[in-house]
Amino acid sequence: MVALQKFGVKIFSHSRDLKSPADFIPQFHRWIQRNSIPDHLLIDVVDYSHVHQGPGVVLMAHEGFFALDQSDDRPGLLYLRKRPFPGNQEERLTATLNIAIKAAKLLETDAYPEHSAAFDFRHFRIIVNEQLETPERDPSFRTIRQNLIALEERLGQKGRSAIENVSTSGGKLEINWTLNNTLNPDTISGENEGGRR
Amino acid sequence: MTTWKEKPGEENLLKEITKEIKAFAFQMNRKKRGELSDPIFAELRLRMGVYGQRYDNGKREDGLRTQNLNFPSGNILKGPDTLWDAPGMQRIKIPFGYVTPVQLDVLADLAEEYSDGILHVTTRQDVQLHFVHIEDTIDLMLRLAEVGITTQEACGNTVRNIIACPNAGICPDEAFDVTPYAKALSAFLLGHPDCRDFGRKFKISFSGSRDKAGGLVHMHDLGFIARKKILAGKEIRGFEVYVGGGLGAVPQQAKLFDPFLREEELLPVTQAIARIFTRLGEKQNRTRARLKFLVSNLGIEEFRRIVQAERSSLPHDDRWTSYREKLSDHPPQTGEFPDGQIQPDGFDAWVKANILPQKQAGYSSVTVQLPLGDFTARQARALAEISRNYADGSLRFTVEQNIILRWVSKKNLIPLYVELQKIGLDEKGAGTITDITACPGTDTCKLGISSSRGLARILRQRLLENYGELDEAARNLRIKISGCFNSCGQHHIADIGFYGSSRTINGYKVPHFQILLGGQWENNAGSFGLAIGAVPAKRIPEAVNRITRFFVSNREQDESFQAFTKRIGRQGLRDLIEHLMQIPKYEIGASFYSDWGDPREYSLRDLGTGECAGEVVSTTQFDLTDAERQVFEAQIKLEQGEWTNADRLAYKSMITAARALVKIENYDVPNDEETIIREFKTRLFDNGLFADRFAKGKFGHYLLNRHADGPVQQDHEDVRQLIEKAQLFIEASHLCYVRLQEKENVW
Repeated sequence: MVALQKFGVKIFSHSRDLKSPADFIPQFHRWIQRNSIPDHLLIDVVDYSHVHQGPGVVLMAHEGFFALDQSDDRPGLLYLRKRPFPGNQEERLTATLNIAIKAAKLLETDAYPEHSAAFDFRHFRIIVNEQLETPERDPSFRTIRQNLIALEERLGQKGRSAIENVSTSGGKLEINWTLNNTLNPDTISGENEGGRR
Repeated sequence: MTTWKEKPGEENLLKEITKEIKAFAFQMNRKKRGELSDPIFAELRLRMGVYGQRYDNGKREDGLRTQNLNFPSGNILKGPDTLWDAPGMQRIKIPFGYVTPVQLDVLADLAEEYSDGILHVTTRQDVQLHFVHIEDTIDLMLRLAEVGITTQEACGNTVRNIIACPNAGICPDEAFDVTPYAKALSAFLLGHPDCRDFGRKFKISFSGSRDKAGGLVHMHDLGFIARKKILAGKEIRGFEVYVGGGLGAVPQQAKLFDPFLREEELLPVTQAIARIFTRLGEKQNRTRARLKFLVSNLGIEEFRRIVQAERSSLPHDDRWTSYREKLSDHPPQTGEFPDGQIQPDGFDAWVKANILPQKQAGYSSVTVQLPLGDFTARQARALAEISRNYADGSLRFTVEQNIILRWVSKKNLIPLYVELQKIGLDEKGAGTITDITACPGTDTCKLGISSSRGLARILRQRLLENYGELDEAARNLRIKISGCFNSCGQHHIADIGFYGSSRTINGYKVPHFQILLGGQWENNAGSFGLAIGAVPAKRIPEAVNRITRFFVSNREQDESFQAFTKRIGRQGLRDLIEHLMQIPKYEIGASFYSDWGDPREYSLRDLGTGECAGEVVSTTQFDLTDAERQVFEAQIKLEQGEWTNADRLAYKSMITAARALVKIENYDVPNDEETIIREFKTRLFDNGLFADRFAKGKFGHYLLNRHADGPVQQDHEDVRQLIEKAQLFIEASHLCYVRLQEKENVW
């Protein structure tokens, strides 16, 4: 079976402000000015707030992008990786998660007090950004499940999560990962942390 | 087997397309090894639809400084001044906008995997994906090839995507369905040896009728309008053929080439025209390399004669007519659903604007309005399914950046509408004032001057808020926006058109839009709007308000907007917006000095031009403003039928602008035409100072040519074109002034 290369992680938000993603455009521009995301070449900000349940506003980087994603009418910060990470699948997944959480944390502190961007660090959507034949039935889900369980074990949260394949036919492999306790980026470490360029 | 790469292989792929893709992959590797020059590789990739995007030179104004984008591949280039790793745009050719659900599913996958999850429909019925890395393009192309889509010749000096009326085959007013002809011509010309050595792009379109917008034949290099004739008691199909049209900076209406070209001559005559364009078209001077210049230089009579001679000499090709054996009406494939459906809220209003009854009784076409031409991968998959279940199993992209579903039975309208509601694509008002066409502009295009999409977004929002209160006459107007003068948003054929420009005010660069009124969408892009003045971008919504309210209050009976603008005249229309041209100082109204949707202080640096700083208006700015006044007066004279005066004023405006620039170095330059021209040529034109990176010296030629050639021929069209050129010369003078200030610390 092909080892999966490109992951995305979406962290859902409690905040109603995130339903107006265009309000966060200045934040993203500031991130570019300040090079706010380590190991990422931030390029531009793209406004898709006119698209129904679309990516909202996108901060485009060479390595991937960050979006104030509105899909399923559940706003959140989505990080989608485009350029490969080194390492094995678990390391790639962990690194992607790490970056997404850090970016969400930054948005929480950076956006305040103009806007509220509160995220729920217990609920994650893991996305495999590669086309699979039948994502809802694909064996890749099993390997990712194993990766997540291994991560939980490292974080001392073994057995305290729900992992569910929520893919639909024709779409991407998408997995809901729900933990009992909040995930903190400082406790996640991977050999590929930050994605070396 | 889990990924597409492991599917059984090349027997699924179109062999010819695969060969080209592999050849391109080979060239990519050569380029990375430094074995291929930048210009050659750039043309190669453009011919595969692999475009550059803004900031691909590795520089971006971040609002505080010029940021260097240090990509991992360093200074490896994919074209002149275009970094290898910089994200690009992939243009995907969709001949006459036709896609199947299977193809749309693949497009959705590609948008998610290689782009930002958004598919963008263009004004040529193509699809574009943005922020695509060049290293991903091979896989992307192979996956498209697997479902019969090519990106070949989507860009570059090629035959671009052939467009056709999206209602071909179902329109009550058409002579016959042009779809199979557009399809046959697309296939015939793709990779044809006679189409590989053009000096410039070549655009073709098809329409089923004269009166509708159709394929906008009059603005194309080559356009075909379906016609029928009775000969010897038999109905014969043919085409009214037009050549030499184009938008661009200075739009030109196509000329009648043949009032009735028999259908069997469609492909060979097109081939003959392509050969003539290759042989006689300009190749060195890109600003004069479009077919319209060749037709203009030769005259239509001589052009026709040469093409006919070329046609006679062509060796026979079976493909010219073999497609005709397969011509047939497209059969509907609809599902049946029970009666007794409940009408959802909004259904009636949606039907009014978005449904067109087909000529086939009991069926309609449905326009799905895509905001700014964008839709998500998820929406794409849902539309594919909707097409399978409720339409004929196909979809058509339109030049208004929407999607049309056809062969929808009456019974299926409500369930289809409900499905569209679920995916947020049930917006009413297709083809109305809220259905705004906009090119990518400064969002992604290197040539964008002002944010066409930013403006479109805000106008849409405000017009939607007031939609119910708008008078129907205003509601039925069309707005089109281009980010610059190159007309990718087709602003010339809108009722209300805008193109991005820039002005220096109080020492700051300020985004503006030039307003054009009274263009004609119908009659195959029947006529072009004319400029009434440039307004700061942030004042445009107010301008739209004033113009539409004035129209509604002052139109006579059922007067069209075109007739209305002609009757009121340019001065009357300009009076509406004149006061909007002023803005407060930066300290009081900083928002005017940034563009829509972009908090950065507005800059042209991302175009490669400089910025100025200053607090009061300089002599040069006063003089350039005077030049603008003169060209506006020329427009008035044209409207009044005073061609000689209009010509003289247009020329004078360019002289004024040229003198304004010359005075920077030679303040005492006499106000004498010959001296001004000589000084302009010596100080600014010959040394390239007047040229900008993208238009080069094109606009400088407008002045020099007018000076050398004398007054233009005394007809409306020639004088109108001169005025357009004068307008552009003045725009270029503004930009030149900015560059001079930065370069020489000029005031």
